Amino acid sequence: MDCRNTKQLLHDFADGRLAESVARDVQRHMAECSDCRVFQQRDMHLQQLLAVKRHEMPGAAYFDNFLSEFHQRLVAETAPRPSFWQQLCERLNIQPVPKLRLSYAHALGAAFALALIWRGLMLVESPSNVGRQDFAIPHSTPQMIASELPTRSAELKLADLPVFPILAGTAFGAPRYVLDHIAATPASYEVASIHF
Amino acid sequence: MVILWPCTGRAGNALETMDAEVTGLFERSKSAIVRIHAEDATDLALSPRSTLVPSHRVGSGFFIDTEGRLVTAGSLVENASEIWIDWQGRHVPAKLLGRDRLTNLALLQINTNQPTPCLQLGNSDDLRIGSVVVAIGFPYEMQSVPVVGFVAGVDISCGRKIFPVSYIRAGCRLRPGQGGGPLLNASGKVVGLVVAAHGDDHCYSVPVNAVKKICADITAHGAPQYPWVGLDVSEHQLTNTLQWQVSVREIYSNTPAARAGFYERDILLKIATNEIHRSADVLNTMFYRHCGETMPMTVLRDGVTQEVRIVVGKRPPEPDPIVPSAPLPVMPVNTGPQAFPAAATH
Repeated sequence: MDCRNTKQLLHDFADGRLAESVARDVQRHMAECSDCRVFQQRDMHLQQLLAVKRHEMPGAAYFDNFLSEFHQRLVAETAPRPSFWQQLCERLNIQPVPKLRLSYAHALGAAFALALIWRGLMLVESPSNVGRQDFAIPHSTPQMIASELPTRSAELKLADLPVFPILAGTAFGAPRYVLDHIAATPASYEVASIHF
Repeated sequence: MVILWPCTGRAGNALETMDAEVTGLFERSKSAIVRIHAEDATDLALSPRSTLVPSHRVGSGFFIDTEGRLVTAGSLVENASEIWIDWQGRHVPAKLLGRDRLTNLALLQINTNQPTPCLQLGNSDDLRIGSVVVAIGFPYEMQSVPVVGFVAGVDISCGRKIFPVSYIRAGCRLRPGQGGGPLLNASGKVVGLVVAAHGDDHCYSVPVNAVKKICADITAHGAPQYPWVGLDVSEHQLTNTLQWQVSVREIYSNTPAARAGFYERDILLKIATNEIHRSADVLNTMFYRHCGETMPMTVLRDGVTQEVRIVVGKRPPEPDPIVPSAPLPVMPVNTGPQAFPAAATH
């Protein structure tokens, strides 16, 4: 008999419900195995503690309010938690708008989206207000090239830096370089019908 | 080594010759090829400070005469509110004279006091499969570069897209920004205008003969003039042969074809002097016809060859399909040996 079988039979062994041959095997294994002996001792101690607790009884007042307390605790644990806006309204004594349940994450996301839209709109310049010579692709401007030179930038003049005039003239990011694409397979023999 | 030495020497000479030819062609041509910018203003009502958002497109183009006229791809200047070119180190405003949606071609004009360098226009009909061509354009923000390739085909369609005239398919690997540039032959003459890329290493070009015709129409009428006779035709392969025929499927009402007395199932044999075997022959012939001219068409009707003279009209925006109740002549089904079977497919 191994440890696993012995631990499964310990309760029956303690209650004397095992057959004599099986009980003898359990006893023989426990005499040889210190782990199972420690496990049996801890189990016996636990059973003794349970036997003591089994005789402890709450007071009579406990059962008088048991149902009402049970229901209160159940409602408290299962009720939904107030959202950020509800807590804020409660603190400020403001009547919340009915059916407007905005969580903190939603509010944060909406604020972030509004900030992005506003920032994008702030970048927009009217063509009539911006001269063609005044704007260029940022990564090609001589000012940015000069700022990226760490040590000798003071010695360089902006006029000496390479300027790409072909990039000038865009006010809204990189231009789109045109070359249409036809992705189909050439098939000059597949013309079914034409009108002319 | 002794055997290979003469061969390597000849190969070296050939490469040197090719190098000299290509660089020389490029040096002679690059002054007439310019970068073209187009900017349109898209309305964006959400903007609090401005309702206009510029869209900047960049492509290539080339001068076709010394008076400052240049051509480019039509998609480059589509809906453009402002067009300018980079020429002689400065931005020069350009005016859109006209644009053809079918061929994707645009004709521009700049105002200048000095004659502009221009490319010599060749003859695209002289091109053959395998002819050496050089496409020149401005890829991305870089300077103009030549791309050498070979003519790989002449296609009237690409998949479901049908071209108004057969386009030149050349084995040139082009990059965005090179659209609208010229396609030159080995002599340095323009044989096409690059309008689209196809795959990774091919491009489509409008043949220069079509460019000439469109430019002439725009100059004369302000817009391209496409001929129109009002026929719907389809091509069929004859049974057990490699021959094809083009037959009339439908005749549009109130058109030159209806007035000239065409019949359904007429087989087109000739348009003017050009023999017709495929739909491409029809388009390539009709593209170069002029509105108002009287044109003979030879048809095979009930086994009999007949000639029909037709006055070419101007193509309407959208043709009106024939009304089923209209009294149209109905011909018996052709039964001659050259008649194609009704159920033949291609």
